Amino acid sequence: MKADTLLCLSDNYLTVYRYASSLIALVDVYDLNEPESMGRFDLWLKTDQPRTTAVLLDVSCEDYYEEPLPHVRGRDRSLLVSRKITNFFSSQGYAYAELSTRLRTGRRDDIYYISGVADTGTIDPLIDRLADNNTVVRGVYTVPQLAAELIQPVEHGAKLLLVTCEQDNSSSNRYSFRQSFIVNEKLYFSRKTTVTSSPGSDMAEVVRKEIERTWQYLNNRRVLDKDSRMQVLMLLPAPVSKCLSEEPDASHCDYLYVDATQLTECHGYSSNTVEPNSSVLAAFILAKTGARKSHYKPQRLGVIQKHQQIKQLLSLASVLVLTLAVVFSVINIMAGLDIKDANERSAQHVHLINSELKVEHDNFKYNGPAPQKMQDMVVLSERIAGQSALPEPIFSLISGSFSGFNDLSLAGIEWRSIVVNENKNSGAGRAEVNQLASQGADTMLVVSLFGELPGFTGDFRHAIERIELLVTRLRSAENVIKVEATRLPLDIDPSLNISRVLSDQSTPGFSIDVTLMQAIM
Amino acid sequence: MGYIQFSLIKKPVLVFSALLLLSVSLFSGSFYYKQVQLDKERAIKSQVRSARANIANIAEDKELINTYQSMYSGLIDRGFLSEESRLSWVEQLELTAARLELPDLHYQIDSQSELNQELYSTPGGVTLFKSQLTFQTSLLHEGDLLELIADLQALPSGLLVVEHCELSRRNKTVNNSEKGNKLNFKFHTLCDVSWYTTGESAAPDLPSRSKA
Repeated sequence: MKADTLLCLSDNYLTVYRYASSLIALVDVYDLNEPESMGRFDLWLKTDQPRTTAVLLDVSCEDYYEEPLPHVRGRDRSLLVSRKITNFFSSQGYAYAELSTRLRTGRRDDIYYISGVADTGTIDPLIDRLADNNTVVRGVYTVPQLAAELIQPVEHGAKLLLVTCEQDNSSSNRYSFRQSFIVNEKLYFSRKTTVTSSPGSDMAEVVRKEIERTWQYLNNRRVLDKDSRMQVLMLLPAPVSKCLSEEPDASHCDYLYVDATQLTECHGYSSNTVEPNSSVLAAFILAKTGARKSHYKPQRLGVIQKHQQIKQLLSLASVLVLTLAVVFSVINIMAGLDIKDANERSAQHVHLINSELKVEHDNFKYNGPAPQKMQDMVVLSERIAGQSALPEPIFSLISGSFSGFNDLSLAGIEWRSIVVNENKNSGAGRAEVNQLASQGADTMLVVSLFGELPGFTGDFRHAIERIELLVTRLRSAENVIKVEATRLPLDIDPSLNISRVLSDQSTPGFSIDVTLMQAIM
Repeated sequence: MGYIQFSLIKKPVLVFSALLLLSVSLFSGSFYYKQVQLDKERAIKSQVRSARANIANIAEDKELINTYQSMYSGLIDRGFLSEESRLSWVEQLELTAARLELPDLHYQIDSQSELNQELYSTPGGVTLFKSQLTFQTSLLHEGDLLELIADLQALPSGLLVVEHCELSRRNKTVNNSEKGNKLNFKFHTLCDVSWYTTGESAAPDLPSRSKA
């Protein structure tokens, strides 16, 4: 179970509380002036080894200042505040500054409330003991700085004086009165006074005068509003409260007695052993609210705290590293095991495939030329033979086409094969090339037919019609790409000159070029 | 405030170091184990690929043999893979001319030339040769041309390719001195044919997948 240890240091005594499960308990009280008592504390410190420890100061040697500082931000602000603190307090680590408000007029400076311990003679021995024991202290706090939180459940004004009282441990007649002036929930000023209650002295009178002194001080500093009365909250033990309530209030002040029992109930205070007073309640609030910014930061405790942070960092890093290593190792091992299983299955598969390969090898008895070589040579031979312009299919085409054209006589045939590439170079039509390519052939056959009209009677129109009919028939033949009449009995091309002697009796001729796909071969 | 006393953090530092070492060892070991298994997996996959490729190659070789062996044998029979035989050509021309009674057959065979590999995409290690034969003769009938070319094609001395032919009507009478009669030739032809043969070149042999 998590437990907080609270070390409450007053001017003469060190009180140790333990807080756990919303319950605060008194461990022991040590007299700072008795070596034997402090020896007991040292022993307790070594044997108990408190884990989470906080120091709560309730000393009389704290000083308070109100300082206007230029309104700056960031690093400049911290440097400015730190320089101002150094002017007031020589002891490093025992000063606390809090921004109160910002002036609305003039330079619009920031107003800081600065508190600090000018004389650390009471505190240093305790801090040294804690540091020597390597006790980690999460913070050093002061009771006055917790005053605003203490009276939070009580309805109060923006400016008020809180008067608290505790009975001294050494004498039942001595009381410590602390007056804390709070402005807008921030501590402006605090003062601790010891008052002895004896038959010869009137405690109420003394307390009233102390309050009036405080009013005078605050009035001189123009903290209080003009013509207003100061609200005074009295958080006192029942006997003292009874004693004071019988006396008139201090001048310019309005007393408000706070019921300590109700206030502790509002804070949820719970303890079986400790009677509630202001410092115990402050310790309870401190423990209950948990981690908060430390008011003071003694150097020696800072070193311990830094080492503690390093330890925590190392512990965290250790856990993190180990966790990551375990997670990734498990992932790797699981993946490795999966792959191993798959490999075992694959190995069996390899064995089967190798057996199949061996069977194929054994069955494949072949001693001839390499199959690829055979394929290449056959393809080569087909490529070469595909260009051969054999006469049979040409004769077949001509005899079929000329059937019925007895008036046309064939005088000669010439044919040659043309490779498509050559054809391109030779300027053949793109249409023929595309048709050839679309049918997978790469060679064309160009057949030139030379003919005559032996029975020509001078009717050129009829002769030309017959030749055009022959051309049409040739075009309809299979595998014919192109048919073109290159010469007619009478050349009727408008771009040419025509001349003829009517007495000329020579037989007119014609010629036709037929382009075929080599596929017909 | 700034200094660090090692004695205060000795224990957690040692614990952290030990755990770090343990973690690194654990992770390294598991990573190594996984890598070993991955290497084995790669090796097995490589074996499977190799075996499958071999099986596929055998199947492909079988297919190639089934498809091309008979055609390849035909090419051997036609002398495509042998040296050319000009003597056979000459003898065949004379025999055919005598049979078809072509007394004015005139022929010319050019010197053999080696063709550029790119012309027919000739496979590596193979050299393609070409010899051109040009003949012209009078013909009694156009069918004689078919028979003449058929006789030349039948010769086992390479691939015969007819590249160009002309056939024209031309009346010509020739005395047949052997038979003592007159022949009336109605056609004349001029043809360019080529004989293609191959030879093994000095280049490395064609790639062969099959080790069988």
